[in-house]
Amino acid sequence: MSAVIETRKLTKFYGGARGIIDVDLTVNEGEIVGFIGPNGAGKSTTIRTLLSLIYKTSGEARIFGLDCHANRVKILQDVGYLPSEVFYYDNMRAIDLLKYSASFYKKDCAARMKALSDALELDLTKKIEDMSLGNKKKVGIVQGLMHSPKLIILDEPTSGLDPLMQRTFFNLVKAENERGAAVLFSSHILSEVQNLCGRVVIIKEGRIISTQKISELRENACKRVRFSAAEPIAPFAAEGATDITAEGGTVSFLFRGDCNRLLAELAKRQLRDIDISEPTLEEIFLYYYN
Amino acid sequence: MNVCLFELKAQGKGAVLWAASLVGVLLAFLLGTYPLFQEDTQDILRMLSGFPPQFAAAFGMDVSSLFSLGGFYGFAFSYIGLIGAIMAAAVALASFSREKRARCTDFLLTKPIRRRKIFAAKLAAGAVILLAANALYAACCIPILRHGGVPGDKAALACLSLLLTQAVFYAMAVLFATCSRRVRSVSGTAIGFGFAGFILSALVGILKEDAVRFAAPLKYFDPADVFAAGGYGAPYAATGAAIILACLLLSAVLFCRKDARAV
Repeated sequence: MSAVIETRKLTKFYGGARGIIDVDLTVNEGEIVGFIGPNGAGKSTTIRTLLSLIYKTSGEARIFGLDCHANRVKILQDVGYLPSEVFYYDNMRAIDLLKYSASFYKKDCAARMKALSDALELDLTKKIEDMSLGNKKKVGIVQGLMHSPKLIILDEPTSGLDPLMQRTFFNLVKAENERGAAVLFSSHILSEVQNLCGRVVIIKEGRIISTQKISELRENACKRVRFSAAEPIAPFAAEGATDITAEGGTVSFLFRGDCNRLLAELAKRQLRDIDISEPTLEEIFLYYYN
Repeated sequence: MNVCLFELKAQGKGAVLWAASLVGVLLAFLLGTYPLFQEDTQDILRMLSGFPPQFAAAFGMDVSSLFSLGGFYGFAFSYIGLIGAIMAAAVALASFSREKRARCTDFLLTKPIRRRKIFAAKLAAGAVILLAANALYAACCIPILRHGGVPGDKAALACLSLLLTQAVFYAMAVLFATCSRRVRSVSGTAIGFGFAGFILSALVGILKEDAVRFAAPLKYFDPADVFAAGGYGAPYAATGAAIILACLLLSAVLFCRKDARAV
């Protein structure tokens, strides 16, 4: 399997400020790779360097085996990009913007543009300035996918999309992947990439700290549990519970293990409220890497 | 080509209005005001003598030549040049700050097109707009000057002053737009460029210092020089040409090499 994206010791400093340091990232043909990390970790810097929007300080960045900077034009013919925040020329209608976008590619994008717009229920005759954030995002999706790219780079793409539209979007990305496109999916929401990706790369403070298969990540998955009880709680302890804090009758902890045992332990108490949720990325980092 | 056409389409209406304004002001001066100056020469001289000489100089009036068509055109050009400078700066700022203002730099720079081609396309669109406006201006201006007895070569050179002055302001505005993080108002910034140029020109008139003229871009290609000496003042014209070249080269390098700021 050949690498679609390959970086070696890719480093970017903004003057003296850290962007990314020694990033080694590989995305193979046909893969969907999640790229996760908290805000400011370096996800967008990595992506913007790959797209030649910014220039690397040192290291190597290759897409389709070609140097990202030297072969920028050739590479971008086959790359689709959807940024986290979409902005376009406001006084244009969506159809005019998409036609302008299509004019840069050496292929006819009309049929694909129509199919994607229909799938996303996007009114192309509307002016972009009159569109909601979600609809602007849809324009972004269409312009990112309409030239059937071999590599799709998504930088926190779901913000502004309602849950139904998120599902439609994920289905589109899956379909593009089945067609053969490799996908790099950046997000700070772990659950979002878990459902779509085969592998995740975790970045923190500008450095890649882990690359894991989703199956491994699931095995190690933990939950944040919070409950409050009607009666005062004696010091709480349960097998698999860590990072336990008790404050004002509310107990909070991270749990990894057999959920039936946890429920049996909790059932011994008269609970007033309970919340079992995904831990934040920071909590995951603390859990795994502390 | 698509970027150039996009720019031309975006600026088409504005360019027509600017060209019409230039021609309108030219006609108002040469066909409306100049005949009045000829008819009432003594009254106007009497009125001007009531003002301090610096006042007339600041507004571009050279009393010794004001009543000849060439001299009057030189006076009119203080204002036509100002409008032309604002137009050129507006065209450059609109074009080169378009993506920054719309915060869609990422959109354009992730398309398969070299940055230098984008720069060249925007430059070409600006050139087309300025050349078209100047062609219209020359088509109106040259016959009027010729009709007033100005030789053809001088009339053409005096008309060319507008295009060359605009080129200086265009180049400076391109550099400004390329360097700035964001241009908040195209018209406001363009007017700023024009009036800064006008104030510097007024200073040249008031101070009568040759050295000050090097800092006054509206005076680099002064038609008054054409009527007085048959051509532009070489050191000033050379300064103008150097500014055009330096600004455009520096802009091109920055445009191609600068990191695109995240929104």
